[in-house]
Amino acid sequence: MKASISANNRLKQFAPQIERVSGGAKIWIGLLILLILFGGVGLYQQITKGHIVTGMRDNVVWGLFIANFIFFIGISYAGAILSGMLYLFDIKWRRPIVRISVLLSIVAGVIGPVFIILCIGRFDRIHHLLLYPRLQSPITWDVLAISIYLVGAVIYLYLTVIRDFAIYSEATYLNIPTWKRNLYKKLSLGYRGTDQQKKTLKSMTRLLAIIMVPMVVIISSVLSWIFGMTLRPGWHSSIFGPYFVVASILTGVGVIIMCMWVFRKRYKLQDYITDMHFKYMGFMMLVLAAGYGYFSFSEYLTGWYGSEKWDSEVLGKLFDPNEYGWWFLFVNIFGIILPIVTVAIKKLRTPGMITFAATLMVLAMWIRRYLIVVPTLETPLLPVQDTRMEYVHYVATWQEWSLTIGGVATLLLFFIIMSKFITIVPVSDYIDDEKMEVNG
Amino acid sequence: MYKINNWRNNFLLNHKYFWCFLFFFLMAANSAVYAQEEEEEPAKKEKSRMGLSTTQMPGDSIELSALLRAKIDDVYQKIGDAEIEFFAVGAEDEISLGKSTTNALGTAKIKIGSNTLEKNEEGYMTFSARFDGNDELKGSDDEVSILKANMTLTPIKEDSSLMVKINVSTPSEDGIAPLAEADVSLFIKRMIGRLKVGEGTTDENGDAEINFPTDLSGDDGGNLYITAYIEDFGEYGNLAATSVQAWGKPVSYEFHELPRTLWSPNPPIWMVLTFFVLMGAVWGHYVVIVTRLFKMRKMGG
Repeated sequence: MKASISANNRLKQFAPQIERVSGGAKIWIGLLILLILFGGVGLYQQITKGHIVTGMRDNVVWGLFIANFIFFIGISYAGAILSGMLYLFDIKWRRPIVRISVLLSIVAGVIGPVFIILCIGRFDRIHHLLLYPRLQSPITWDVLAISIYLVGAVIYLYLTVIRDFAIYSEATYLNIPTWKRNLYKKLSLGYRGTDQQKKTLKSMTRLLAIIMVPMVVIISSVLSWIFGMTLRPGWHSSIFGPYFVVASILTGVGVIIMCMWVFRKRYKLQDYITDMHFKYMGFMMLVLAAGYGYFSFSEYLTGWYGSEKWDSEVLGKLFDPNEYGWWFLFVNIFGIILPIVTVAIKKLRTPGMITFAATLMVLAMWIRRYLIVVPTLETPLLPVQDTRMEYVHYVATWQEWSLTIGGVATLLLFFIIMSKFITIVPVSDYIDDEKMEVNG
Repeated sequence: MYKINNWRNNFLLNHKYFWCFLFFFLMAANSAVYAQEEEEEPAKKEKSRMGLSTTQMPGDSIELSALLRAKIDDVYQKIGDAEIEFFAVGAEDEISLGKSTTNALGTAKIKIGSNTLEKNEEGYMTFSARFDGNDELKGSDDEVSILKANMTLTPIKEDSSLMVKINVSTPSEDGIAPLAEADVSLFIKRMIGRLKVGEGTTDENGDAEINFPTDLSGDDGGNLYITAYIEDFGEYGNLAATSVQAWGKPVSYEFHELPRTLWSPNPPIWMVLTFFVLMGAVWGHYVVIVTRLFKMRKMGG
């Protein structure tokens, strides 16, 4: 099978991305590996000394690890739902974004559950979740949901890259090792671009996109129900389901904007990831930030107005400058107001400013996850007797931070590795009506 | 040199946002988020404290109970897994009565017969308990002296009412002397501990009559394990007497299977059905897609 001239020209433009690893990329990979090793030191300490090396104690049993879990899984879900919706609605400008979204959904979806495993401590008992499941438990629902989701996301990614693999495997001018070419050939599953294959592939991708969208909404809600189904103040809220869905998609949009910026700069993709893409993603960010702001306002207003004792305690902590007040202010300003203002004002609606706002928004949303988990646990529903005061207030230790940094570094490293196998811009999508010649 | 400098400048220029972000992150991080524990100095031995008490029981037996505690981090904690040796202290020497290891609540107990124990001129029996210490704790001991006393418990059933008669006395030169003003508490044994059901005070004859409730649940035979207890009665220590009476209502402990609910081992049926329908739908679609993927391979031929 030979690709057309147009496809070859496109591929030559993206070839450096999958052909070689530049010096700068090698340094960056080296740095990421160092950060991962730093996380490994923290992990070693945690395994050998136990969870005493973390800040988690009797009162605050969840901390940084759970905040990271929600964060990473959230952006993973966002990647899946965005790619599905953009595909289903046949949005013309979707092409580079869909590829980034799908990659993000896989990479973040793999990293997120690792933090759960770090939190539970006893890795040797992880299989008990499957051997002795309790169907009534939201945690069981989440285990099953994430497993199903990851399988679906992998299949979805595969469906979207089959055509590209076929092109890579047959592009003889690509300077790639033989093993890589053979891998592309195997993974292309003999795709030759016949009408029947095109039709089948399109229908399967569409079917999976149709399943993914509602599935992600449901499993994102399941993630929120781990908190919502408890009776704890600040968690027991009927609004948590949609709250988490919107927060996930908002954070995911922010991460995708950051990825767009990085890949556009790194691989000189100005012709493919244009200012228009930033503008449209910015609008999406604006709408989602506004929605998220509405949900936040509704939740806090309801809690404040009800004046229920423990709800008021948690709210008091979030508004107290001596507790979490400054962080809460940061979250609301940079997580909600800044994205709206940046995109709403035309002069600020540039790729650079949108990316800057998105970066701060993502940081704010990570802090928001922390503020969901920790202040509530520091406010027990039932009075706790005979407890030490140092157990009531949670402070993360360096081991937890090292694992957090290691997790972020792992996500970036996985992204780099995957971008060395799959071009960020889907080559096959730019071949609209050109037919692909089939070698006899 | 020009090329290296140029590369360095380009690197810094192209990655300025990265350096800005790294700087911001480091500056924004609150030093309070780091709660690294300082290395602990080698622990010095803490002081331990022993508390010895006695309970005189029917049949001339005495239960010695030693409570071992230590002040750690300004909080008194009960020390488990420590060996305690008990002694009967005589005029000239002490006789070992045996050893026992403290449980998780820091208590070690032994039971001895009091008939052969040495008494001093005033009739006191003296006991001691000793902890020799370990790598973390210093040793400690305690001593207690008590006079002999007896308590009897007599259950009385008259018509439909139940009563327990208590008599407390002590051996004297004239035979037996009653002990008045002793506060007696009545307990029955329950699954985890005991339930107080009555109390009274002995009169000048050493007697106390305590009404017993008639609406208590017993075991499957209706039996109740009754204990009369006098706590810390001056020179006599603690006193106890027990009896088993079929004064409770028989309770059947036949196991009934729990209904399917949110909180029982088996989930509600609607939950199980929903689970299988959703799993089936999603995995079914995955199977269809993967099957068609492999069929697509043949279409290329």
